[in-house]
Formats: sequence, C-alpha cells, structure tokens
Amino acid sequence: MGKQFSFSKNMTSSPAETYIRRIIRDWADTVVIPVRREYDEDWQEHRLIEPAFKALMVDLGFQKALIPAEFGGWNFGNTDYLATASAWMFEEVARADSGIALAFGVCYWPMVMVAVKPHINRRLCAEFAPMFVDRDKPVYGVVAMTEPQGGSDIENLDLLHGQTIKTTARLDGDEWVINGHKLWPTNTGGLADLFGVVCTTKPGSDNDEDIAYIYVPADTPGVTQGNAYEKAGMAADKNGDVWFEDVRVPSWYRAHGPGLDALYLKEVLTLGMMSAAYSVGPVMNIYEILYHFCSHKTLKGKPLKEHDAVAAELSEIVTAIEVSRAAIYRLAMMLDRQDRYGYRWDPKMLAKARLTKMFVADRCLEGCEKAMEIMGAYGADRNWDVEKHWRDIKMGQLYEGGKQLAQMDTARYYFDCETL
Amino acid sequence: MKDGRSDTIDSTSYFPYPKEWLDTESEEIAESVSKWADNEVIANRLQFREDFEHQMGTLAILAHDIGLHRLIWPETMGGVGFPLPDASSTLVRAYEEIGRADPSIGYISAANIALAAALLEEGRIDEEMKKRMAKAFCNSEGLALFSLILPGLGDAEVEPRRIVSGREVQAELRSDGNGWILTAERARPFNSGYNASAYGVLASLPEGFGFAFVEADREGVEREELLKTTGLSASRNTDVSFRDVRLSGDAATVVDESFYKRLSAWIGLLTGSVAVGSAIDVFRLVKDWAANRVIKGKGLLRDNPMDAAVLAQVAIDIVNARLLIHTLARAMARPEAFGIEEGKDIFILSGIISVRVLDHCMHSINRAMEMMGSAGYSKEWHVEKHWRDLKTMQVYLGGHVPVEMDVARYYYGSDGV
Repeated sequence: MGKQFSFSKNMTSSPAETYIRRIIRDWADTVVIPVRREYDEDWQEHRLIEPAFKALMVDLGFQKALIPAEFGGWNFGNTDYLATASAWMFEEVARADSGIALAFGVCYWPMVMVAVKPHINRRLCAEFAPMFVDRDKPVYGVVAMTEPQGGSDIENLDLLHGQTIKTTARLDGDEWVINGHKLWPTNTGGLADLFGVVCTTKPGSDNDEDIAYIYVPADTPGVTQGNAYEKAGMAADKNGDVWFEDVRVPSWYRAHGPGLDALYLKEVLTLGMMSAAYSVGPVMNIYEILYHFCSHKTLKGKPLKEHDAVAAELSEIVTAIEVSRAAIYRLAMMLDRQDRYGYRWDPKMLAKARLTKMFVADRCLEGCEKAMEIMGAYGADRNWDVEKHWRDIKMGQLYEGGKQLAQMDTARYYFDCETL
Repeated sequence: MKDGRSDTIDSTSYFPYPKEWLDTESEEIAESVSKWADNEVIANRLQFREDFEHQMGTLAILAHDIGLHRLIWPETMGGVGFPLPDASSTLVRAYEEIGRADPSIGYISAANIALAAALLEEGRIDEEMKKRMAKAFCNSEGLALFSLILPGLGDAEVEPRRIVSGREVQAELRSDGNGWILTAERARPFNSGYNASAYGVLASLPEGFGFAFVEADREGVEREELLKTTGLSASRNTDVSFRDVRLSGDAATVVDESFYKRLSAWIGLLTGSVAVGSAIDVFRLVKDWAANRVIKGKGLLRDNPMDAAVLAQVAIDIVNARLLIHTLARAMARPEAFGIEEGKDIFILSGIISVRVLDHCMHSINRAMEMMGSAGYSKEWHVEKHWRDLKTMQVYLGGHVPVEMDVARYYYGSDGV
C-alpha cells in the first residue's frame, strides 16, 4: 500500500516499544492484512482467523504478556508500563483487525484480577499461568459479566454494587457452586478456555462484599457455551451465551475474597477502557489506505488530496487519529503512575478511562465515516478494507456498557452526583 | 398521531407528513406496498437477507403485481399513467414503505424509477426510445433491471473523460454512421452492475452529453467479479467495461446537463424516501426492544430520562427527515409554489434535502444502536442491516462534499470547485 502511519515512540513507554511494535506490524502486514477481507465469511469457523491468532499469541508469544516473570510470562502486569504497553500493542493489532485486537486484549483481561501488582495472587497465577505460557494453541480468556436482563447494570458498580447480579455463587464445603446465564462475553461461542465469572454470594445484596469474582475453567462440568452470534462486523470476536449450571470449582478459585473482588473488578473495568486503542488502530490503517487512494484518484486533472474541500476532510481524519492517540496515551500514563494519580480502581480513574474511551470511539467512527465518503462507492467496497474497519469499530461505541454508562460514571465523579 | 405506548406500529400514524398532498389512490398504493413489506419481506427477514433469488422474486412482485414499475409510464405505453411530476408524493410514500422492509430493494427500484422519470421528463428523448424503455419496465415477463452508469463513481486509476456538475463522467459515446460506439473502462455502476439486464449510461460526447441504453448481453460489455459491499445486498454490483460497444441509432441520444440534474433529483427524492422508511423500521425495532427492558434492577429503560433522551432523538430525526422528503416531493411537483425554477433549482434542493435526510436517518439509527448495544449490532435484530444499507447508500450518493460544491456554485457563484 505504501506509506504507513508513523508510530512515534511514547515518552512514557518501555524500551521494548519499538521492537514489539515492529514485530506486530510485520505480523499484521504479512499474516492478517492480505486476507482480512475474507474474515466476515469466517465468523463461525475461524479457519483463517484462528491461524492468524495463533501466530500472534503462541508463535510470537503475546499470550504470555501479562503473566508475571516468575510464572514464565513477560511480566507486563508487574511493571509500571502495563497500560501504555497495552495501548501500543492493541493499536498495532487493531491496525490489522480490531476484532483480533479485542480477542487478544480479552484473553488476558480475566487475569488482571490476580496477575497485576500490587495484588498478585500467586496461588492462582501458579494454577492458571501454565495455560498461557506452556500451550501450543491460543488460550481464550473471558470476563463473564453481562447478563440477559439489565445489560450493563453489572458494570455500574458504583451505583448498584452488584444488586442486579443474577449469577450466584454458593459455598458448599470447600467448593463454590455457580449458577447463572451470561450473555455476549468476548471469546465465547465455543472458544473460551478460562472464565472470570462475576457473580454474587447473596442475590439482591448491594454490599460490595457479596460480589465475587471466581475463576472457572471452561471444561468444568456444568459449563455450556452457546453458538456465536452473527454480527455486523468483528468476526474475530466471538460472542455467545454461557450457562453455568451447578458448576463446582475449588473455593480458592475466588480471586481475593469479600470486598477486594469488587474493588479490583473496578480496576478490570478501568483497564478495559484501553479498548479505545481498538478504535484508533483501524483509523491509522485507514490513513494509509486513504493516502494511496487520494494520491492516485484524480479529479479535474489533479490528485484528490490536492483539492481543498477534500483536504479539509482528510485533515479531520488525521486530527481524530492524533488527538485520540494523545488521549489514550495520557490515560495510559495516568493508569501506570498510580503513585501520582491514584489507584486504577478509584472512581476518578474509572471516570477518566470511560470518558477517554467514549471520546475516542466517537471520533474514530467519525473518521471512518469521512473516509468512506471521500472514497465514494469504493468506501463501501470490501476490497478497500475501509468499510470493514467502519463496521468493526462501531462495536467500540457499544461494548463495556456503551455510551450512557460512560456518561453516568463520568458525571458521577466530576459533578459529585449521588443518585445516578 | 398515535399514543406512543400502543403496541402496534403504523408508520403513517406515528410520524406526520402532509397528507393533503396525497390523494386516495396514492394512499391505496402505499397501503399495497405496506402489505408487501410486511408479508413478503419483514415476515421472512432471516431468509430474505441472504437469498438473492428470493429478493429478486420479491422485487418482481412489487414491480409487476403491485405495478410500481409501471406506475409513471403513460397508459399508451403500457403503464398506469400517473402523471409526472405530480406522482412525486405518491412515490415518496411507496418508497418509504419499501425502505421499511428492505433498503436494498428500495435502492435498486428507486434507481430504476428515477431513470424512468428523468427519461419521461426529458424533452430531447424521442418517443421510440421511450417506448423501448417502457416495454422493459411494463413487461410482466421477467424483471427488467437497469443499472445506472453515472458521473462521479469512477475507478480511482482511470482518467476521467469529462466533468458534469463537478463530477467525472465515466463513459464516452461517439457517433458511428447511423449508430453509436460506447466506451468505458471499469465504470462503477450506481446499482446492480453485476446482474442488470441493461445499463442506462450517461456518457460524454465530443460536444455535450449522451444517454445510452445498453443490453447487458451486447458484445463488448464486460462485467468483473461480484463485489462484496457493506450493505445493499440486493444491489449486486461490479465494475463494468464497455469495449467499443456498438449501438443502434435509437439506443442512444443527445441530452444536456439538465438530464443528469433531473435524474439526480429523482434519485435524491426516492433514495431519501427509502432512508426514511428504513429509519421508521428501526424506530419500531428499538421501541419493541425498549418496551420491557428493565435497568438498575427496577424501572423500565424508556422511563429513565437519559435513555428517554436518546430514544427521543431517534424519533426527532425521523420526524425531520420525513417532513423534509415530503417537502422535496411537493417542490418537484409544484416548483412554482416554492418560487423555484424547475431544473437547476430542483437539483440543488434535492441535493441539500437528500443529504440532510440521510444524515438524519443515519443519526437516528446510530442512536438506536447505541441504546440497544449488542442487540443493535447483532444480525438477528436487523437494526444493523438498516445501518449498513443506509451507509452504503450514503456513499454511493457521493456524501457531503459534492453537494456542498453544488451549493457553493449555486449560491455563491464559486468557480472551478
């Protein structure tokens, strides 16, 4: 395609940034980008997607990224650049395919509870880290949160404190017995290997101590994964129903216990907002596509990009990219410097993370829409990949509670709202 | 207007439009199309969205059994004889109902009827050519499907031939004895390029413009592979080349820029109507979805002020879009009542309104998806199909910049833009 989006090194990043970005970019350009326009038809079987994912996660080793070094991982969870590294890994993967980026990020999302300092649970790391570091196939991690009724209510922790959670965990001897129905988690539809299940030990309670986060290997008796839903895009991200019927796991599979599960779950939500990078990566790639298109497509004898009205639109697109990236890396820097900005589980940090993701998702989608318009009929043509990015990153506006929950969390912190 | 808590959706009742501009016969036509939408499409949506043959069969019912594709042709040519431009409001109501069912069916039908309307209104096109076209539209044996080759959609790598209204013309026509020769390289059709039975081509002449009618099986017509596109699945498209295609004398004719402008105005009106219908169906879907949705463990989602505000915007956009598109229809039927000049003024007005209508409808659907979250994004709820279809329509219509240049030329005398 020619010109690529330049990844200027981030001031707060690790020495490994340039090296790892180049590895991912090489994977993107050779493994994914040449065939990604076929991914839509591959949404059920993953015949193309699975090998690409394996190349990233296993062959290049990225599924070890979060795991502490003492358990064989790359130790990102135990560093001061976890969020920043997540941002540049996610945007580079998303430059190729936002669905793969989402699946990648969610793979280690459930382990955030126990593999990130200062609350590393060594017993659970020892239990589950081998799945991530010793396997020759991708490991699909899942945070099982959303339920059929109430949508994003469960993620509204600071208002509802788990009151609407329907999935229950009952202690029976030295085992938890879990029952419930989760809807739409990423990496399900038959893929899941390990669930982090958000549940309640006391249905109807609004006490944070009754919120439990319990690990459930997907092959545990009583776990059923439904078929994947067919969606507008995001073929690499499989979503389905998951049922837990009298599922029994050891009592020590609970992440941290009463109170702390709810506290660190907020950190899981906050770090989840680094998903903003899933939106910006595709628009970086759209810039590259547009550069080619607008340099070669002529109107009235000169390249499209040399027409002032078109140039104005092109300017809006790169503004969306650069301002979004600035916002993401500012957020990442704050999340990494907990000594200066506060813990990631603070409502303040959740608010800052939510507003960043909300802003970036909106701006990037607008950038995609402008690109499609500039390209006219070719903007809706699968061969140019722009429309795929557009369909994919629409999801970025909708997941993790969507815009309305983000607005509530943001307003609640900034305006001291008490009843939202 | 009806109470918003009623269980049934009647699109004619929820969103106001100027009924005084439609006669009883027009409403009866809209009612027939509405029944077609409910029974033939909406009731079978999961099957419909993937099955192209089924889509074409359903379009044939609309075109022939209901008679929509015969509607504006004179009775002497086998049509129903609805006079132009008075039929504009009738067509808007019909295309709203089609859009409610399936925007891609609406889109290709709209392209065909816009072509028919522009031909019938073009004084320079002789009766023989009109009769030839009428035969295709009014013949109930098989479905005649025209694909439009319009300015402004050409291949990025192919040099343009001429500019009309700021848009590059993709094809070239030249006279050859008693006939014509048509050439174009990888032209991108507006609709149905892959399976059309014929092409309606606006082409440049050494002086001015021509319109050519080209059967798809004529020697020299070469279609490429089927394109995969964002939406508008019934409008199967591909790039088409015309390699020195020889045409008889009555298969092409000289037209001027006003023909393109008239055709564009009709396309804007009818596709805008499809968009309004599409948004109305999304309104129905999000209303159904929100009806029993409980949030925060207690009240209904629709009773929460923040969510109610989003739901309100879904409806507000539709109200605005519908009033605008009916106003455009009336302006096309009665330009003198609006103080505008038929021809170039209507072209501008149609561009302005159709762009705004598409914006309203896309905004409405985007807000509905935002509200529905994953349900809005999954195929089973069909909202995402409306979203993809309208976005595809928006980019095939050229988006904002070309219309902004039209407006600047018209209102400010901007030169060379």
